[in-house]
Parts: sequence; C-alpha cells; structure tokens
Amino acid sequence: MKEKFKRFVQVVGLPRLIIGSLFIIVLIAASAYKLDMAALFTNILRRYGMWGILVLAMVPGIQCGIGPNFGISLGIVCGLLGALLSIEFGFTGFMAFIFAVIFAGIIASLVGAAYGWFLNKVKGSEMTVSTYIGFASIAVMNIFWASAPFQNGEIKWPIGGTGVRTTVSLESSFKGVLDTFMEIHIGGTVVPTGLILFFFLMCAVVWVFLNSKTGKAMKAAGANPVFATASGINVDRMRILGTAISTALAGIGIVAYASAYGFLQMYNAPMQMGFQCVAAVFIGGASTSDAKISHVLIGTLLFHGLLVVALPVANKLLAGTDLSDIMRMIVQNAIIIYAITKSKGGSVRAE
Amino acid sequence: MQNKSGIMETVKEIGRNILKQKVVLMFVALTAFGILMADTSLAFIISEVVGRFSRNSFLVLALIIPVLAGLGLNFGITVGAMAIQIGVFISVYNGFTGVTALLVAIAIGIPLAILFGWLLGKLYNKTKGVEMITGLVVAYLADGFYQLLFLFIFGGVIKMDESTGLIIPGGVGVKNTIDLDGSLKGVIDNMNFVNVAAVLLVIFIIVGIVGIVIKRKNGMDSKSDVQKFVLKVVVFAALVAFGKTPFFAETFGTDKILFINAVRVASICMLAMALIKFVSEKVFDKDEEFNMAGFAIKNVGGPVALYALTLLKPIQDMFFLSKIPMASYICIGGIIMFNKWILSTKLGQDMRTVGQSRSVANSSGINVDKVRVIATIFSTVLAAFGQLIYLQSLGTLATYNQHTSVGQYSVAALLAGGASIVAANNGHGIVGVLIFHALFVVAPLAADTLLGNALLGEYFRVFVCYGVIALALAMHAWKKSPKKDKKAKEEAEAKPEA
Repeated sequence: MKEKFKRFVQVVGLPRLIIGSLFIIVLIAASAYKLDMAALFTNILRRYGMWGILVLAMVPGIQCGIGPNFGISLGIVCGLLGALLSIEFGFTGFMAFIFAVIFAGIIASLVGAAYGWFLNKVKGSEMTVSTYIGFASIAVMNIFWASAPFQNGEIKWPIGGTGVRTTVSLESSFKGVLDTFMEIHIGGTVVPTGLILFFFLMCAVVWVFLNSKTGKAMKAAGANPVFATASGINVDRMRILGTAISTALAGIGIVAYASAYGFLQMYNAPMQMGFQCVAAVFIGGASTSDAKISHVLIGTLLFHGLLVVALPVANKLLAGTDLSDIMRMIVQNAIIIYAITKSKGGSVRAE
Repeated sequence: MQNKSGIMETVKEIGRNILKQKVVLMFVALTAFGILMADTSLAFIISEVVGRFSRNSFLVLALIIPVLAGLGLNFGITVGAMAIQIGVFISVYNGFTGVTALLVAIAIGIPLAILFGWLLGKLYNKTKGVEMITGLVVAYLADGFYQLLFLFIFGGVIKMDESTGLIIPGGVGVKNTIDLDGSLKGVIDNMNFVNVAAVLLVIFIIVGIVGIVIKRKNGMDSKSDVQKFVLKVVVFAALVAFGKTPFFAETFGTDKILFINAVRVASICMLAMALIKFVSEKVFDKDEEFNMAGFAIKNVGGPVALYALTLLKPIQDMFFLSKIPMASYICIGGIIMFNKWILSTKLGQDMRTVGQSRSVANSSGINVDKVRVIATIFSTVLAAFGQLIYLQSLGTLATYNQHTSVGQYSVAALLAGGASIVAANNGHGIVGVLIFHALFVVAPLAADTLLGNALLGEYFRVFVCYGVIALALAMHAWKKSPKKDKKAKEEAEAKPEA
C-alpha cells in the first residue's frame, strides 16, 4: 500500500498532487458556501485563457536551456508597447487586436533576441540575472511610459498631462474581441471560446515548432549542450532563438490577457507576473530543465483555477480580507523554491 | 629619493585601483551630476545622506559575511528584518517603553532571527550555486507567512486587546502603521553615548582580564601584554571621564550631536589611539626602527588636520544641518569591528576557504554545510539588529511593507560601493551606502529641475537599484563564463576523437 502510494505520488508529482487537492478542496468549499458555481466556472475559463500564453512562454525558455524565464516582464512590456501603438494608430475592434499582436510579436522577438544574446554571456546564472533584467526593464519602461508622447485620448492622462495612464481602457479598441468570438453559454457558464482557442492555437504553433528540425535541435542544445555542440548544433544560436520565442510569446500573451481583462495595466503591474508564470509551469510538472506543453495546460488550470475559486471562498471565510492573495504568495513562492531545490544544485542541469 | 619614487608608486597604485572601480566611478559621476542639477542647498543633501547612512549602513554591512562564505548576496536578510518586526510589535503591544522596549524586542526578535537564519542556511545548502534567486524567492514566501501572521493570527486566531490601538477595530489583523513614538523611537539614537562607552569600557576590562588569565595559564603571557592592556584601559577611562565632564556635554553634546562636533570627538579618539600606539611601540616594545616623523605624519597629522577642517567656515556651513546619533554610530562601528574580527578567527578562515572552493574546504576537513549555515545565521541576526536601528530611527513601523525592500536596497548599495558577488568588505559597504543614498536623495530633485517631473527621478532611482544588481550579476557571470565555454568546447572536440 505504502509502495503504491509512493509510486502514485511519483507519477503525479508532488506539486500537482498538493495543488490539485487544494483546488478540489476550495471547489467543495465553494459549493458548500453556495457560491454561484456557474460564474466561478466562467471565471476559471477566462483566467485560463488569459494566463495560458504567458505560462506557455516558459516552455521554449526552459527547453533551449536558459531555465525558467523569470524575465518575461521584458516581453510583457514589449507587448504593452505593441498594444499602445495599435491604439495610437487608431485601429479598433478585431483589427486593433491583430495589429497589437503583430507589433508585440515583432518588438518582443527583436528585444528577446538581444536578451538571449545577453543570457549567453551569463551561463549558469540565468535565473538571477533574468529576474533582475525583468525588474530593470519595468523600471526603464516606467520612465518611458511617464514621458512618452502618445496623443490618443485613451492613452494619455486627461487634461494636459503627459505620459501614459496607469491603466489604459480598451473599451474603444479591442476589449473582449476574443471572448465574444463564438461565445458558448452552457447553463450559466460562459465559455470564452475565442480566447481559449487562441491559447490552444499558440500551443499548437509552439508544438509544431518544437517538433520541427530546428525545434529538436533547440531541445538538444538545452538538454545537453556539450553533446549538441559535438553534433554540429550552434548552441548559443539555439538559446537565442528559444529566448526570442519565449519573449515574443510573453508579448503576445499580455495582449490576449489585456483583451480579456479590458485594461492595459502599465507601470509596476507586471512586476510579479514572471514569478506567477514560473510557479504555474512548475505546478504543471515542469522542472528547471524540462517543460512540456502539457505542463502548461495542467499547471495554468490548477494554479489559476485555485486562485479564482479561493478569492470568494476566502471572503466568505473571513470577510474583507486578502487571504487569497496571501495564499497566492505562499503557494507561488513555495513551489518555485521546491523546484529549485530539485534542480540538483547550482546549474540548471546536473553537475 | 627612494622615498619619493615610493610615493609616486603609491599614487599610481591608488589611481589604478580607482580606475578598477568602474561601478563606483559611474555612481559618483551620476550623483555629482544630480547634485549639480538639484536645486537645493548642499547642506540639505548632506544632512539627508547622513541621516540615511545612520539608518541603512548596519543592514548593508550585514551582507558581508555571506559573501565571504561564498553564498553570494544574501537577499534573504529580509527574514531577519521580519523577525525583529515581530519582536517590535509584541514589545510595543505590551506597552513597554524606552530601553525595556528595546530589550524585549531583542529578546523576542533575535531568537526568531536565529531560527529563521538556520532554516535559510539549510535551504541554501540544498540550492548551492543558486542561493541568490533562492533568497529572493524566500523573501517573497516569508512575506506571505508574515502577512498571514499579522493579518489572521494576531487579532484573529489569537485574540488581542483592541484598546492598545494596534489592532484594526472590529476587524481582524494589525494596523497598517505602528507609531513607535513614546516606545522605541530614538531609543538608540538618543542614548547618551558616553554611558554606552562606559559600558563598553567595563566589557573591555572584563574581556581583557579573562584573556590575560587564560594566556597566563597557558604560560604564553608577557609583561608587555599586561602593560599594553593597562595603558589601553587608562586611556579609554580617561576619555570616558572627559566625556562625563560638564565641559564636554556643553561643547559637544552627549546624544545626537552636530556632525562637526562628532568629527572633533572622533579626532580626539584617534589621537588617543595614536598615543596608545606610540607608547606601546616606543616604550614597551622598545622598537629600534621606530620612525618618529613617519609616525607623527600618519597618526597625529590625520586627526589634527581633521580637527582643523572643522574650524573652517565653509565646512561648518556645509554640515550645519547634519546631526549624528552617536550611539547608533557606535553600533555601526561595532559591526565593522565584528566583520573584521570574524576574519581573524578560525571560523572566519574556514568561511574564506569555503567561499573560495567548497571541494578544497571539504578535503581539508571543514564541515562546509555547517559553516554556510553559521554564515547565514550571522547575516540574518545582524540584519535583525540593522532593521531595529532603522525602525527606532524612523519612528514608525509600516507593518506590511517595511521589510519588503530591505534586501534589494541593501544589496544595491553594497554593489554600488564596488563589491561583487565574491568579494565584499566594510569599505565597499560604507562607500556604497554614501553614494547610493546620495543618488537616492538627489535623483527626484534633479529630475524635477531638469524635466519638471519629480516622478521620473523616482522611477530612475528604482531603475538604478535594479540596474546595478543586474549589472553586477552579469559582470560576475561574464567574467566566469569564457573559461567554461572553452572547457565545453575542448570537451566537445575531445569526444569525437575518443
């Protein structure tokens, strides 16, 4: 029996098991408190679609060998810039979204390539360096946002101010363009089909890429750089490619996130997003040296599903408090530490 | 002639060393530019920097030991700050005031800090090589538990008295800000430092006597040891007696004193130290090669020049706003001595060895894991004391976010002073605090005059904080990586042949 249990834990993975059980417990608690379950499921699905692509951005990073990309805030600020440009040029509706994605993708992949080149110089310390690159990029962009000469009334502060508002409403541009696309109502639950399809589309694109010749070479470069070099793969170039894709996905991800959320959150808002994405992919079963798309699909559902349901449950339990945010901090950071301790010492790979 | 070329060499050497410190130079340039641009008097900026120095330098100096032990920059000192904040809260909640409040806060906070440091050290041993990211994430994780404690356990699970004014009425949890006025505010800053010195004198006498007795038992004592000890005690006691005179209290003051006066007191102490050195070398040791002129220039010229400077009007004008809380500075002096002293012990040597190479340390019989845990505990406990000095100087405790930036800002300041991930000393810490906080003070002011927007300066200084950490980490990894790449290439080339 004990053996069986151990095997079970090993197969499912401890993080998945713990967070999965927590998720089920809060779901049961939610129904016990007679919360509106249909609305909860709507929220879970929306949150799933919102965060999915951002978490997906972890996969190429981990596979190409830079480890969990704590610095996706770099891609996120690029995505925000892309979205702002799209609004500034006056696009509306679906076109605004398309152009935001295109701008975000282009800017983020260029910046990501430079970032990848930089990470090649700091092999072995990628996690710490990328965290601080992420923080520093947010601080730089704060200066930019506060002084950027945007003219669109939705973006700049009203009445003679300069710079970008702290939150930019997407009401008149691309709010909800994905959610409402082929929306399905099941009972009271609303399925944001477009949003989730877009996430799956991105997963499919990444999957196709990972199974192409280049993708396999990239994976080899990440798994065993010495062997990859010996078989004629340019490891450094593969790492740049993986980082660029990761950063681009983060840029596109934040555009999808914002379209569902209805606002662009500027300034310090993306500060902790990197940690949340890293935690989600670890919960899904990834490690610092291996991540699959299935890890993204499971991890995002468990982590963000848990957070969505925990909020109203915690409010019922102790009114007017922020218990769910505290739980997010504890779960998120405990999972990251757990994964780091499992990563066999210093380098991302075994010594 | 020889002497002259020697001086030239020293000047060149100093020049080379300055050029090596690119980060420091960059910071000095930035700060100087900011001061030129800022539309404020120099006296104001200096007083701000002096105030920040007395609050922050202890925390920054708490980072040095883990660097020596090869743990890198300990972002985890935040947990030490949290430990003492728990102590401070309990102390204030129970209505203690003054020195009692301080002692209660220490009695609760420091054991907690030791516990947290031990746990952190154990964790660092499981994540060798990535301690820094671990420390960073641990700080966030601990913040979660800390909030849980202050929002739900205090006042929620443990019922607490609302009449103290520290608990949110009706709801659960501790209030956002705790006013330390009347309890802990200025407890150390306003201490009579002559009394502190007197206490130190008593401790010094006891420790010295014990040391001599032990030496005598081992048969290693010498006559000059006792003579030197007596001399030190006499000079020290004379200084304390001088401090006790009404004349001293009237001219210099005894708690928070003017910067100018602090410099004068310091130069008097330096002269006393010169006297001790002179008598023990010339009279007790009868050193034949004792160079009278050199000694006078080095040990007497400095303090006298310093004292003379304080008499100049422009200098007096520059510092007239700055006040020095002497007792806090004695604490800072204490940690500097501690950091130096620890290196001279067996433990300190072990730490160095572990810091240089874990495998070498292991093969020479050092318990690597244990040394690393001890280094982490030291750092955490010192950080707890540092945060206590910070809090009593500030006078309020922002319950939920006082600790959040402790790790980041301290690390950034240390790095700005020219430290790296593998090398840090007291000098780096002191220089770093001065220029980092000078930049912190002037950045918004300069941005206000230059761009008409103080907020930009605010963002800029945050960027500088993160930027300097990113830069230092990158430079360190950069230096390290070419060797690795070469090795990997060689291995790769060797493989096909085999």
